[in-house]
This record gives sequence, structure tokens and C-alpha cells, in this order.
Amino acid sequence: MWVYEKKLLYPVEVTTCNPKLARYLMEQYGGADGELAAALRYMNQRYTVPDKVIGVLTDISTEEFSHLEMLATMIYKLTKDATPEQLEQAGLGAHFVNHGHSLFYENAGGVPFTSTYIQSKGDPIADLYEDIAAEEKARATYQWLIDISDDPGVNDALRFLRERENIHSLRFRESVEILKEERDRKKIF
Amino acid sequence: MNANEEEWNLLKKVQQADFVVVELTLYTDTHPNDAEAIHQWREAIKEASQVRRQYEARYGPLSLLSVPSKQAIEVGWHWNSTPWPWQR
Amino acid sequence: MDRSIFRGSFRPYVSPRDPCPPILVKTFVLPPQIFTNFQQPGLPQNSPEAALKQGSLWPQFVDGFSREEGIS
Repeated sequence: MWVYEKKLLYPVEVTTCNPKLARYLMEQYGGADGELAAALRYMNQRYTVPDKVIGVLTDISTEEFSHLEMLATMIYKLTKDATPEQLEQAGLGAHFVNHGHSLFYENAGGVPFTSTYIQSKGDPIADLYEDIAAEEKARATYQWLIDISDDPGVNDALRFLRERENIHSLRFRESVEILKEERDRKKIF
Repeated sequence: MNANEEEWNLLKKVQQADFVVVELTLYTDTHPNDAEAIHQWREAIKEASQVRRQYEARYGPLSLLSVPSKQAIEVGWHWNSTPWPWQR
Repeated sequence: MDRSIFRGSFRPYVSPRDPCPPILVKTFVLPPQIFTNFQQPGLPQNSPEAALKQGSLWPQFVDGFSREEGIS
């Protein structure tokens, strides 16, 4: 089970009313390499991986949900009091007529989230390599978001999130090494 | 420093202490035999719960597993009280 | 932090028929974690304050990123 913590993982401060930036951030909210996909990918894989790497998948998945909440906070703040006209100018007119001011799990292009974004092969190495790739892709997405954003508060939070991808990638790489140590273990039993 | 800023700063202390726990938990997941890290991890959890108690005594629980202080109840604190994390 | 050790670069082929002004040297990221398979015990640590600010307890894995680098 999970217990809600009434705080963000990292203090998010948004400086501008900027619905266009909110739209771009949706890539990491409901996109293929976004935080929802990451959280669900690891949380689903953990049931069938070798015991030694269950902790990593569980803990990183849990952290990804806290990243999702940071993204939601940024998107919420960037659009909170924006007028329909401002939303339309930001390319969120279609979003507005369907969802109003609410958030939705979709990417920057408005494509709704789908579970086909995640993989689960039931093969530990295939899954961990997928996870390493997912972290590097998320890191790259954060880079392009930092490049396109001029909100200092948002960029500060994005830098934090990008760095977390480095650490998660490292832990998944270590998980691969841990599984490599299991070679020929059967013979010793 | 106004009241809102004071709360923000104390919450940041909680976030800093908790983040150390997050990092060390992930580290010990893949380094179960690093005794020094396990020790630091235990100490980090103690430190985080101490900072958390300071915050919660003044501003109310951050989690449903924290005991609400009498003072918090007296001043009308509820779990459902604003601000929620995304509203701050 | 010396960020340059976590970046690579290459010179892309430039054609006289490229429509945009050519960028002669392209830079890309080689993040710190790809240079190690397993974190060594006892690495120098950030203070809790710096750790949260930078996004990691270990400065060795922090490479940062800014628009000013001009990577894209």
C-alpha cells in the first residue's frame, strides 16, 4: 500500500502564467517517456523480476509518482488562471473544450496516454535495459524542455528531475550487474 | 520573514532531510553490504523524523501516519486543510 | 563540477545545399552514470541542502544542464 505525503519531493516555484509551457510539460506528464509511463512500467515489472532487484523497481516507481506530482503542480500553476483565449493561443484550445482547466494524461501533442508506452517482457535483462533506456530518454526530454522554457522556477525543477534520471539509470545499471553475479549459481546449490 | 515564508522554509528542511533518505534507500537497495551506508541511512531516517516533528508540531501532520498535535487540532487543523502541495 | 567531461562533440557533414545556416560542431551529453557500472562505496557527499538543490547526494553524478550550452 501507499501513504500520501502532503508535500512535494522538491519545492516547485512557478514564476510565470504560461499555458504554452504547460502544454510542453505534458510530454513528461502523459507522454511515452514521461513520469506516468515510468511509474507504471517499474511498478508492473517488479512482480516477476529476481528478488534482488525488486527494491530498486519499487522505490524508483514510487519516486516517479512524486515526479508526476511535481509535473502536475507545474502544469496546474502555469494554467490556473489563464483565460480560454490564452489557452487557445498556447495551442490548448482543443484541450480546453474537452477538459476545461483540468489536467489530462496526454503528451505535448495532445495524444492521450496509452499502456503501449510501457514494456514488460518478463525477461529481467530485457526489462532492465528497457528501464535504462527509459531513464535516458526522459533525461533527454528534460534537456529539450529546459532549452525551450524561459521560466526560471520551472527550469530549476526540471534540472532536479533531469538529475534524478541520471541516478535512476545508475541504479538500473547496477541491477544488471547484480543479476550478472547470479551466473551459474545453480551449480553451487 | 512572513508566516508563509517561514512555513515554506521549514518544509524545505523536511524535503532536504527526506531526500537524503530517498537517495540512501535507493543506494542500499543495490549496496546491501555497505555497512557504513546502512548506518548513515538509519541516522538519516532519525534526522528526517526529527525535522518532520518540528514542522508537524507547528503546521499539522504531513502524513496520516503522524500523530496530530493537540495544538494543531485546537487551531482547527484538518487533514483536508489547504494548502495542498500543488496549491502552495 | 567540470561539465565538459560529460559532453561529446562531432562535426556533421555540411552540404552547400543545406537550407539553415550550418552548425559546424554539434555537442551531445555523455552523462556521468555511463562511465561506471557500479557506484563505489564512500564517495564524497553533498550536504542535505546541496543534495536536494542538485538532485543527488553524490556530486560525482551531477552534470547539470543549461540552455546556454547550446546542445540543441
